[in-house]
Amino acid sequence: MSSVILTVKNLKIMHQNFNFRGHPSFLLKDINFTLPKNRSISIVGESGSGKTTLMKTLLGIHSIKSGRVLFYDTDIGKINSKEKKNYRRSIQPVFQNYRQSFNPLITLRKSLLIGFNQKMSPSGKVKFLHENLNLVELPIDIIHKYPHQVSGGELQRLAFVRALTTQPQILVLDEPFSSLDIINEQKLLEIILNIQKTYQLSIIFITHKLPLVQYFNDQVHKITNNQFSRWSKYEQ
Amino acid sequence: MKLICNEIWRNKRCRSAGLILITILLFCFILPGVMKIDPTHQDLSNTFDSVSFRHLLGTDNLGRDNFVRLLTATRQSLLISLSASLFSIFIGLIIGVTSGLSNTKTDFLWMRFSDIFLAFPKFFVFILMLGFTNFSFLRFIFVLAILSWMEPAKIIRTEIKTIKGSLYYQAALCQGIHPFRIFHTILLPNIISIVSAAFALQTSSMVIIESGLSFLGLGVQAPQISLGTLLNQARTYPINNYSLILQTGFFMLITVMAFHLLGDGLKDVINKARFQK
Repeated sequence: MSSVILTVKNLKIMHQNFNFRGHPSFLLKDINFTLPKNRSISIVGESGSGKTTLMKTLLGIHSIKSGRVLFYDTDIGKINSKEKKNYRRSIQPVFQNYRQSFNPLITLRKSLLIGFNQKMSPSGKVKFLHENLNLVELPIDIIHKYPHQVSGGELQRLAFVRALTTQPQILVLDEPFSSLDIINEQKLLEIILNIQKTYQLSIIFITHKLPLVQYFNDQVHKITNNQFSRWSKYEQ
Repeated sequence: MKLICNEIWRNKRCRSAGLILITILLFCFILPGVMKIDPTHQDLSNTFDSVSFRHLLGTDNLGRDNFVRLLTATRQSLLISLSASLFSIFIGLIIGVTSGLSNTKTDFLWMRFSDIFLAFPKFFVFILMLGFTNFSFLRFIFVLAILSWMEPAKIIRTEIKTIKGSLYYQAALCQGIHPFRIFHTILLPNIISIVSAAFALQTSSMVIIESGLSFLGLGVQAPQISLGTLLNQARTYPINNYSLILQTGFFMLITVMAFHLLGDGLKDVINKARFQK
């Protein structure tokens, strides 16, 4: 049994829009799961069921209103800013809308260099970038371009490289295959599995495409009718 | 940054405004020195002289050279309005960024603070702060800036809020980097163009406010001259000195228009960059 990295207990997530009556309205209740090291879990749900909001809550972008999220043994809702920084660095997202996740006004190189540890030497950073660009099968000189000069697929793979620059332990993938054709889907899948193997990462895979769940099926959860529940039918 | 500079140069309005402004600046800062004519030198035997080689735009009621006086006045006006708008943009930047980045309550307080400033009757404050004391440049610039930082602050705050909602900001946030680095790498490149557009528009309105105040006698005092004092002086002799009124008006128009054009062009560039997002 490998050690558990992330534990989510009775987490509730709220609607992000205003409720004028002042009552909190919950989008999802009773979210419970544990994520062991080097394992992957899938979360399947319809569009608008709160998958991305759940992701942003796990990433610490939205605050936790009710329930607990434990990273190893520390409660994410009750940590100071330094610990929060460390937590944020160890859980990295790849957003569904990858084109908007890059600043359009700076080069990709600058975007990629933001996340590195400041103590790392410049040559170390460049070496790391080169290795990871090889890993995602991209040419090295692509980083000197601006986001609008590269294709969507390339940007998506660069988003993976950016996520790796903080040396995370968990990767949260928000519908990475939603805009790819079957050939590119297969290619990206291989890249993701390769990344997981190389860096021993845990993966939270959020999707609405059921066939892809088989690759990330250590645990499968589904979201139906505002209920978060385990779906063991699709597990290994 | 390189991308923005290229875009600015490619924009026709920005380029023409830039060329006009550079010409004005060169004229105002170099020519009076080269021509070696003192703008305050009086020649009472030569009043209301018409256009000649010696006096390119004629002379005024005390026989002073209109051309050199115009250039010196434009230089003075530009110096005052540029530094006042720089100062006001600086205050606006600090307040706009703090307010945009802070939580709802602090943001609310900052914005109500700026609303209070917006609600001040400007001319009343100008008269209060400038009318009863000896003129000093620093005070003049300070008063101009302190009453005009609100619009830039609101523009910058809105821009920061927009960036805060964007995915690339959230992605940077997830990487746990220091707020100063977020400002430096994410916010600054994205607000720099809007700040410069605000700066250009602010300067153009500053030129007008400065001239207006100097015209009323609240701003620059003789023997120093600015476009406003020149206009006030020419007003006394509307028939003999009508050309000076037209010339001053023309200089003011060109300067204000150039800054407006620059601001407009910069706005275009920003919209283009937004569209690319």
